Order: sequence, then C-alpha cells, then structure tokens
Amino acid sequence: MTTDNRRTRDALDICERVLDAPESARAALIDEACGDDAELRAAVNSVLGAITSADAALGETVADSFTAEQLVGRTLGGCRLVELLGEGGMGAVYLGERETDEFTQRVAVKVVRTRFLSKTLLERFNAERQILAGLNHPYIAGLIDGGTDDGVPYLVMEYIDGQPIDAALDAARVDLPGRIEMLQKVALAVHAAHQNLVVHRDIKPSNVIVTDDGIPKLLDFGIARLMRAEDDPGDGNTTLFGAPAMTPDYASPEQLLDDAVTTVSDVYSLGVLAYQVLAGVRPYQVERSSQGRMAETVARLAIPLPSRRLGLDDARSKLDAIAQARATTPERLRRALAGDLDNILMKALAQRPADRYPSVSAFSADLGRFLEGQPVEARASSLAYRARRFVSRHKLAVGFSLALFLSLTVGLAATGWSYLNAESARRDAARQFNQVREIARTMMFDVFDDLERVPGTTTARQRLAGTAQQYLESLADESADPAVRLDAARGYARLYAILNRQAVGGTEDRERALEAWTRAADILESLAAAPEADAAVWLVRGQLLSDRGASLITVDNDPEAARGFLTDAFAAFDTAADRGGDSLALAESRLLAGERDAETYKWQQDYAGTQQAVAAVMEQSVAARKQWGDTAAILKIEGDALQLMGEARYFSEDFDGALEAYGTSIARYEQALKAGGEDSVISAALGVARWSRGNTYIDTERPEFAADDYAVAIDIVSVAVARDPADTSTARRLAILKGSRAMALVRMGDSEPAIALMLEVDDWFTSQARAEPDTPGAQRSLAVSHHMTGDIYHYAGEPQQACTWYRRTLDVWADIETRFGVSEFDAGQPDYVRELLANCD
Amino acid sequence: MSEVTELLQRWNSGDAAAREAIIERIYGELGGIARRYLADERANVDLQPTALVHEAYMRLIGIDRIEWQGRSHFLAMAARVMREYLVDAARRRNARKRDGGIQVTLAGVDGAPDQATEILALNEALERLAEADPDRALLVELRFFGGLTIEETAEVLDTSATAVKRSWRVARGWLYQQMQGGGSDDG
Repeated sequence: MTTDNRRTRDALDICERVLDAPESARAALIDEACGDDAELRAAVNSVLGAITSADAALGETVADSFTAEQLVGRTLGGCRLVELLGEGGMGAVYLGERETDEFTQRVAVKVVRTRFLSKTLLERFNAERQILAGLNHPYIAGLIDGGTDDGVPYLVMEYIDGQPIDAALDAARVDLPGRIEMLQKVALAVHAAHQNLVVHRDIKPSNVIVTDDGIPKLLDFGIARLMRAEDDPGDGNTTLFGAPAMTPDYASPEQLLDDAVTTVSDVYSLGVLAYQVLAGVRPYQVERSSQGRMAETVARLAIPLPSRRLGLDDARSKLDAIAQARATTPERLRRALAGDLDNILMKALAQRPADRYPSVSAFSADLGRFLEGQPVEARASSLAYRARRFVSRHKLAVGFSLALFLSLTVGLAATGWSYLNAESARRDAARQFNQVREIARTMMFDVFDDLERVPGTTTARQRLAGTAQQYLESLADESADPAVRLDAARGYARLYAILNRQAVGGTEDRERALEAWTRAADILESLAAAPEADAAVWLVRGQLLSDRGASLITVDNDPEAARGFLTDAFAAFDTAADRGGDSLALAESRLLAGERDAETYKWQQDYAGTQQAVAAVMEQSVAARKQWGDTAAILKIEGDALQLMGEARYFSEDFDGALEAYGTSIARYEQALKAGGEDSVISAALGVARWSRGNTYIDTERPEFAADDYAVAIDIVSVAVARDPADTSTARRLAILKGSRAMALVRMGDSEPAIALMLEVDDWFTSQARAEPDTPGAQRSLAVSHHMTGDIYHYAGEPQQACTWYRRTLDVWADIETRFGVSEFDAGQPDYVRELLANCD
Repeated sequence: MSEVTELLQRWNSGDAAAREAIIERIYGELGGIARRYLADERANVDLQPTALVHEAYMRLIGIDRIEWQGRSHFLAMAARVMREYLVDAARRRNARKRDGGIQVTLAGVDGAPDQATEILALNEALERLAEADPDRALLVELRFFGGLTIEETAEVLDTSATAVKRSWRVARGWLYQQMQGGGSDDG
C-alpha cells in the first residue's frame, strides 16, 4: 500500500472517531491522532470538511435509514402517513391524511428516497414538483403541496379513489359513445399537459383512474408507476414484487427504439388505450422475452383492425363478456368499430409519428366527428378501402351503379391503379407535411405565447425554440409551395425574436439568432423575387427588417446600421401597401418601425432628432387610430414613443416637458392594458415609464412623487420576478427600483425604511457578485450599490456608517482595478470615493 | 433445498467450484433482469438496484429458505454484478447521447445523462477508494450499487448498523470530495 493510500485510510478512520466524539472533544482527538503529521492532519480536516458539504448537499435524511414501512405513522408536511401504497426505486407513495379546518382530507404522499448521489434525483423531484404545480386541470391528479420535512422531500397529491379506466367502464357497462366521451376527457388532460410542454410518456389504463363520479384523472408518471402495486398482475405489466416494470404494450415505437419522444408519442399511447377501451383487447402484446430485441419487435408489430381484432384469439365467452360490458352484442360491436373507428384508431397507432394525428386534440376531434356522424379525417390506406372510398366518393356524382362499375375498371386496369396509388401517395405526403406545418406553427406561436405567461419556463422556452427549429427546417426544405415557405419564414423570424430576447448574455444564442434571421431573409428574398409576390410576403419582409433594426439598436448598439435596416423596412411596407396590403397589421408594423427609428436617434444622443421622429410617429398614429380604432398594440407603441420623447426632453434638461411626456406615456400604457394588450409586456413598459418619471422627480427635488412612482414600478416588477425567479435581469431591475425608492425615501426624511430597503438591495448585489466573482459587471454593480448605501447613510445623518460603506466601495473598486482595470466610463469613480473618504475619520 | 441454496452452502464451506457455479447463475439471472430494468430507462425511469437484487434473489432461492450466511454472500455478489451492469449501462448511455427532442416528462426534466456521468465518476472514485480502503469501498458498493439498506449492509459485513452508518457517512464525504474534483492526493 502506498503512503498516500495509507494516509487516506488513516484519515478516514480518524474522521469516524472524530464524528463519533462529542463536539468539545474533537480538537483534542485530532491533535492526539495526528500528532505532528501535518499531512495527515490536513487530510483529516479536508475530509471532515467534505463530509459536512456532502451532508448538506445530499442530506442526512431520515428516509436514508428508515425503511418505507417505518415511515408509516409519521407526519410529513402536516400529513399523517396512514398506509404504504407502493414502493419503487425512487421512493414510496403513502395514503396520507391531512387535517383541514372542517374535515380530514385523504391525500397521496410521495416521498423520495435519498441515498448516495441523490442530488440528481432531488433535482428531478423538484422539477416534477414545479411542472405539476403548473398543471392545474380537473382531469389531472393535482399537486396539493410539497417540500422537505426533516430532510425528507415529499409531494402531497390529490388522492384518487377509483378504478383504472378500463375496469371502471366495464363495471358501469358504458356503451361505445359513452366510452368515446370518456376518452375525449382523457385527451383534454393530456392536451393540457402538452400545453405545459409535458409529455406524459406512460399513458395506460392504470394511469387513468376514473372516480366513482365518473371523472377521469390522469395520474402523474412517478406516482402512477408506484401506485400500481395492487393492479391486476395478470396483464403482464407487473413484476414479481409488484414493482413497476416497463409497459411496452402501451409504448410508442419511438419510445421502444429510444428515438426522440414527443407529444405525438402520447397520441400513440392514447391510441392503444382507446383501442383497449373500445375493442376490449389491446392491439398486441409485446413478449417479455423479446424486449432485448426492440428493433425487431417494433418492425414486426402488426396491428389488426379493432373490428377484426375481436375474437382473433379469444374464446367466445370472452367476446361475449366484452360486448356485454359495452351493453351490446359481439356482432354489433364489431360493426360499430368497423370503418371510421377502425381508421381513427389505426391513424393514432401509425408506426411513424408523422403518420399519426399531429396532436391529441386532433385525435379527439376526429373521435368527436365520429360521434356526431360527420366524416372523419382518418382514412384507411388498404387497397380494399381505397376502392370502397373511390366508390363512395363517386356515389352522389355519378350514381351508385356507375360508381361500382368505375371501381371495377379501376381494379382491372393496371394503369388506373398505379395512377390512383401515385395520387394517394401524393395526398399522404401532403397531409403529413401539413401536420408538420401545424406542429411548427403551434409550437412557435400558441405554445410559446402560452409559455411566456407560465412561471419559470425560461429553459423550457429554449428547448422549445430548438425543437421548433427542427420542424422549421423540414418546412423550408421540403416544399416549394410559397404559402408554406412564407410560414417557415414567419417561424424563423419569430425564432429570431425569441433567441434575441434570450441572447443578452450568450454569444451562442446570438449566433443562432442571426442564423434564423438569415434563413428567414433568404426565404423571403426568393419569395419576393416572384413578380406575383403578394402583400403578405412584403409585410413579413418589412417586419423582419424592422426586427433586425431593433436588435441592432439594443443588442449590438449600432444605431447607424439599425437605421439602414429600418429604411429598407419602410420600403418593404410601401410595397406591401401598393400591392393592396392595407391592413391593421401593416399599420402597426409601420408605427413600430417608426418608433424604432426614433430610438436610433436617442442612442446617438441626437435628442432633437429623437423628438422629431417621435412627433412623426404620433402623427401617423393618430391617423391609424382613426382608421383602425384604439388597439392595444397601437397604444403600446404610442406609449413607447412618448417614453422616448420623455427621455429626449430629460436629457435636453427640459424636465417639465419630460414629466409631461412620461405622464402621457403612462396613460397610454394603462389604456393599452384596458384594451386587452399583452399583460406582462405592457406592464414591464409601464414599470419603466414610472421609474423614468420617478427619476425626473428626484432630479427636480420632488422625492415624494418619485417615491410613489417607484412604489408602483416595484409592484409591477415584483410580479414579473415572482413569475420567473430564474430571470436575473428582471430581479436586477427590481433591485435597482428598490434602491431608487430608498433614495427617494431618505430625501423625504424617512431614513429608517430607506436604510432597510437599501440594505436589502445591497444584499442582493452582494450575492450576485459572489455568484459571479470573475464578472467585472457584477463587481462594478456591487461597488455602485455600496456607494449608494453610503450615500443613503450620509443623507440619513449617519456619517460613521456612510464612511464604512464608502470604504467598502473603495475596496471593491481596488479589486476591480487590479483584476480587470476600471473602464473609461468609471475612471473617476475610485478617486471620487477617496475624496469622500477624506472627510471620514 | 434448491440447487442454488445447495451451491451457496457449498460455497460457504469453502468449495471454490460452487462459488464459480453460483456466480455464473447470478450473472445470468441478474443480467436478464438488469437488462429489462435498463430497458426501462428508455421511459426515463431510475435504476432500481434494490428491486433488482431482491427480485433476482427471490427468483434464485426464495428468501426464507436460505441460511443467513448464504444470503450475505449473495447480496455482496449481487451488488458487484449490479455495479458492473450500471457502470456498463452508464458508459453506453454516455456514448450515445440522445438527440434534442423535448425531454420533459411528468416525472421531471430528464436528468439521466447527468446521472450516467455521476455513476461513472462514482465508479472511478470508488476504485481509488478500494485501493486505499477496501472495507469502506465494499460498504459503498453494497449500499449504492446493491441498494442495500443500512441494516442489510450491516448483516453482510457482519457489523452493527451504527458502525455502517458512521462508515458510510465518512466514505460518502470522501467520495463526494473526489467527485466534486476537490479531492487531492492527500484527501
């Protein structure tokens, strides 16, 4: 054994003894054990430190040493654990009782088992909690509470008392229409999950519990697999211990093959569930022994039509039982399934994701069409079916017998058939393509917009943008159809805007953003080159140019280049107008570009130019409002333009003029909110306008008005911070606002609240600076915050404290000077602080 | 008495051939089960060494029909086999990084690739620990890879639960340090 190894072992032995000894005796014990072996002593101290960190990071938890059964009877987060419902690798689920004011609520409590390396598990557990917290749906078993109690992380969930969907429907002898309605409810739940970017991935009867009141509840993945211990062991889904095993019978081919799993995978699993619920039998069973050879198994999966599956390998008695449970006879059931239902289910169960319904709602809608007797979207592709369809399509036009005749000729003539095949192949391709298009559209527009309003979704948005890009790629490449390409261009333009918004910090995002912009621009250029290109193309082109201009101003700080793009944008809008594209969207886009144009002047510190440009925008806006009414978008643009006006006047030292412009700007934003504009965006702008006016009040020695404006702004930004705590730029804005208010308060003479507020702000900047010790910006902010704290103490009449803070300020500047150098902008700062300190003792 | 029980007893009384035979059996059995559980990873499920080892054990013998000592041997062996499977799976997993589909499920954001990396890092750290301190390394293997409880570990190592807890905490601290990259040669 090497010396190092021996020392490690000795150190560990000593650590054990140290930890076993009372706190007071430890130092002596280390002295005695290590003697004058300094290296051993260092090793012991280092391991002791590591043990403390490991305990803190991984938790010295009760669950670690308690078995699942032993937790029964304990109370976690106010819930008494009554009974162990199930146990798995990740943890255990208990039936719990929770006392509320009036009654005792039954709940399901999920406890995570923390073991070594539990950090990843804990992170996942927290992620699950966050996702569930966002999933409020009547058909999803909801999250009631969650947290950590005595080191044991737990989730409290709605306890669902009921039966798995198949058993529940059978017991109640629900007929086919009733079953379809139930499936549609389940689809609503899955759809809700998808809207929250959650793919369930394990939809199966035991995860859809129907209560005695007939309400389906989709259970969460983790809980569901844990709760299925009491399920029927005969269905091949349960292992010897009742512990969950894989349920390949419901998994989509891509899941089995380890390919990308998307929302369309849930369409498949819902399809299997529907097949079973309607036909009474699962479409197939994956043999246990074949699971090592998934690829083969999947390739061989042949799904019989539901109407034919009945009685395929089942005894007559089973068939009768299935029919009885559906309040019908086997014959009638078979007939009810044949045709449309066959097609709908087969479409949901298509091997290739692209051949399935693009979404669960599309699946559900087709089921709805069936219920209402309308033609369904799903079509079978078998030869026989095509012939049948051929007949029925011509039934009305040419008379039934002639249609039959036609179908015969088609059947006989080889050329006819191949024509028909090619035709249908083309249609299939088109349909598939439209699905992709629909998904891309939904992702880029609906889902993304929804997500922006959901808390804590920054990461999800980034993932979404990535996924959407893949879809867009396929749109732009595969089609020559101008309408589709325009859609793709819109998608890229949108992606550009999204990435740019996220790009503040990372150059990687900016490069990706620029790529997206270029893709959009290329597509639009080739579309615009066609002489018949319509107004829509030119409108989108103008918007794209205008967006680029906007980010050149704010992200790249290049107002000159920005103005170039904006000029091109105006030209594109003119072309759009010439081609008959007079629309609200065009008017709004033009106003927005005008406002951006005004902004370029402000960034060049040309305040006269800014005011002129704003005046021009306001003039156009009056005309637009006359034509199109007071839309939220127009009001928002006016608010923005007026804010620019306020800034231009402020910097020209026309403070009264600035106050007036800010006032009008605030009023416009408030109108926009009333007109139903996008809440979070307008609120943010309103916050900025209030802040700007507050600053102006401070400069004109009216701190009491300033304090009010800051208070309103703080309220607004606090909401945004609560919505997405991960978004540090918003948190930073909040800290700045609070600091401003502290200054206003101290100038009003309210020293105590001012100091308290400022110290809170300084804490925040301190933690940011600690989190990013090597970022000059964070250190600079810390210096500024310390300085301001000193100033506030100064105004509060506490020179001692003020000096302390100025000293801290100087320390930070000194650190910046040695490590990064002080920027030109801040060059005078350290000396200024030294001057202030000269007056200190 | 089942064949496996008999083998275990023969091994227990020093029959090396019996040991080989039983390892072969355990490998086969555990391997099959492990593959199935690992296949379950596709559905993004955590590896479940406890359930795995216990299921294999049930299959092989039947828990109440076995001598205490045989059970300990078995658990130790199973933990080793599990470690090999898990590490192997983690390597393969890291090798074929997934594509960029949406990796959010109701069970949470996909943390699996990180877990694979963690397993590999732990395995390496554990190899280093085994050089310095084979007893504590075995304990970690049993606890983590075998998924044994404190009590079961104590049973296998023929010591008290308190001793296991203490040793586990210290070993965990050391490994944690190594895995954080903070470990130095003297640590």
